[in-house]
Amino acid sequence: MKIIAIESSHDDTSVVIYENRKILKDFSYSQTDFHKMYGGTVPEFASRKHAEKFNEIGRLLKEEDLSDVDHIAFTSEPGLIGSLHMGRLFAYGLGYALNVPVKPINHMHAHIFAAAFEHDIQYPSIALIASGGHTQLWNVKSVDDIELLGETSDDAAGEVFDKVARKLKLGFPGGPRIQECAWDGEDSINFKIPFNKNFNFSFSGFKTQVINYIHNLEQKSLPIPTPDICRSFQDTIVNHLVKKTKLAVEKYNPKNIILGGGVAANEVLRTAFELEFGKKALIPSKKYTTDNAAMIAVRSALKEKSL
Amino acid sequence: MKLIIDTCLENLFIALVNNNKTVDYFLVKEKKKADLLPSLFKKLLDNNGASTKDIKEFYVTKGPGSFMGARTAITFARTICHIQGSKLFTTDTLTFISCGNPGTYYIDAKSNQSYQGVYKDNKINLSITKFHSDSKVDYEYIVNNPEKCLALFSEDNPISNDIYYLKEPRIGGK
Repeated sequence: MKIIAIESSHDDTSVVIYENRKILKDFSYSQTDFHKMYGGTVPEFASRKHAEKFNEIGRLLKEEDLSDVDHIAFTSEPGLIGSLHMGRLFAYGLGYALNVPVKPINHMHAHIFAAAFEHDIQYPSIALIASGGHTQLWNVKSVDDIELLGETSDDAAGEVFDKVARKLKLGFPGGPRIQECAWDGEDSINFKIPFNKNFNFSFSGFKTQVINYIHNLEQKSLPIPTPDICRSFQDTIVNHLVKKTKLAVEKYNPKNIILGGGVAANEVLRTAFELEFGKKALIPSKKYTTDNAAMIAVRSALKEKSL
Repeated sequence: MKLIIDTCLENLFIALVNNNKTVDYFLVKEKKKADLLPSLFKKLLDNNGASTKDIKEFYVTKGPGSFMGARTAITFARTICHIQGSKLFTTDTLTFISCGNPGTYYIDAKSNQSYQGVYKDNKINLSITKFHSDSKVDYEYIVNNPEKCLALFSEDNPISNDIYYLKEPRIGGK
C-alpha cells in the first residue's frame, strides 16, 4: 500500500512516499536553525516556513509516480495550530488532486508506532513518549486499543532540556547541547525529582531547582560548572523517566517497552532504557524518534492493517 | 471551470465560474478558514457535479489580511495546481476588494493599524497605515461580474513563495 504521509506539527516539514515498510522518497526539512535566533520556535514563523516548504515539496512530488497512491495520511493533532493547518491544507490539496482519501493521524500515536517501522511490536506494550511538547506513558494493548496511563502536568521533558540549556547559554535545541556538554561532567550535584507511584510526571519543580542552582552561583559571581550541571541534570531526568516506565512495566507486564519522541534521541536515555529492559526494549533509529512523516505513514498503514 | 478563493478577509469566499458566469459560490463568516476550506471546496464541486480535475484555473488572494488566511487558500490551491497541472492566478486582497475601481481601500491589520491599498491606473500601492474601518467588499458585484474580477489576477510564479504579509509577527510579550 503506497501512502503519502505528512508531518508538520511543530517546526519540521516532512513528507514521505511510503510503501511496505520502505521510504521510497523523503522530503524533510528542519526549521531549527531558523528558530535558533529566537531561542525557541516562533509559531507564526513556523507556519510561514511550512507554507514555503509545502510549495517546494508539491513541485517535487509532481515528478514522482503517484499513480498508485492509496491514501494521504497527515498529522491532525496535537501540535502548533498554524503548523498543523498547513499540513492539513497540503494533505487535502494532494488528496483532491489525486482523488484518494485523506486520513488524519494523531501525532502521539504515530510516535508510539514509529518503532513498528524497524521492529515487530508484540502486544501488549508500554510506550514512553518524551518530546519537547509531551511526556506520556501509554499502555499499548493492540494497534487499535491504546490507553494513556499518565502524562506531565506541567513542562515536558524536552522543554526542560531547552530551558536549562538556555539558562546555561548553550543554545537551542537544548537536548543535543546538554548531552554533548554532559560527556565532560560528573554527576556531582544532587538534583532531585520527587517520585510518586503513579504514571504522571511533573518537571516544573525540578527545572526551577536547576535554574535556581545556576542563578545562585551567578549572584555570588562563582564559576558555573556547566558540564557537571548538564551531567547531573541529564542523569536525574533520565533515571526518572526510566523509573516511571519501570513502574508501568511492573504493573502491566508488557511484551515490549517502546521509547519514542524527540528526547528518545538522547544517548544516555537510549542506553539506560536498553540496560533496564533488555531485549524487550524497542527503540527506533534516531531519525524516527524526532518528528517525521515516516511514523505518520507507519501508523496509518497499521490502522489499515497493511504495514 | 475556474475557481476563485479568498481566505484573507472576514468571510471565506469561494466561487465556481464557468463561461464567464458564476455557477455557484459560498460566502461564509468563519474564523477557522483553514479547517473549513477543504470541505467547502468539495461541497461546492459536488453540488455542481464537478470534480477537482475540472478546475483548470484557480484564482486566489494571498494577503494582506489575517496571517493565517493569507497562506490558507494559496497553500491549498498551489498543491492542487502542482499535482494536476492547473493554472494558478493570484492577486493581493486589496486589489480584489477594489474590483478594479480606482480608490483607497483598507483591511484591519490589528494593533490599531490597517493595510492600505491605493488602486490607480490598474496598479495597487500597498502599505500599512493607522486604523481605518474595513472597506466593504462588494461580493454581489464580484459574483455578477466574475470576468472583471478574474482580470485582476495574474499568473503566479510557481517557484515564488511570495505571500503579502506586510507585517512581521509580534514575538514574546506585549
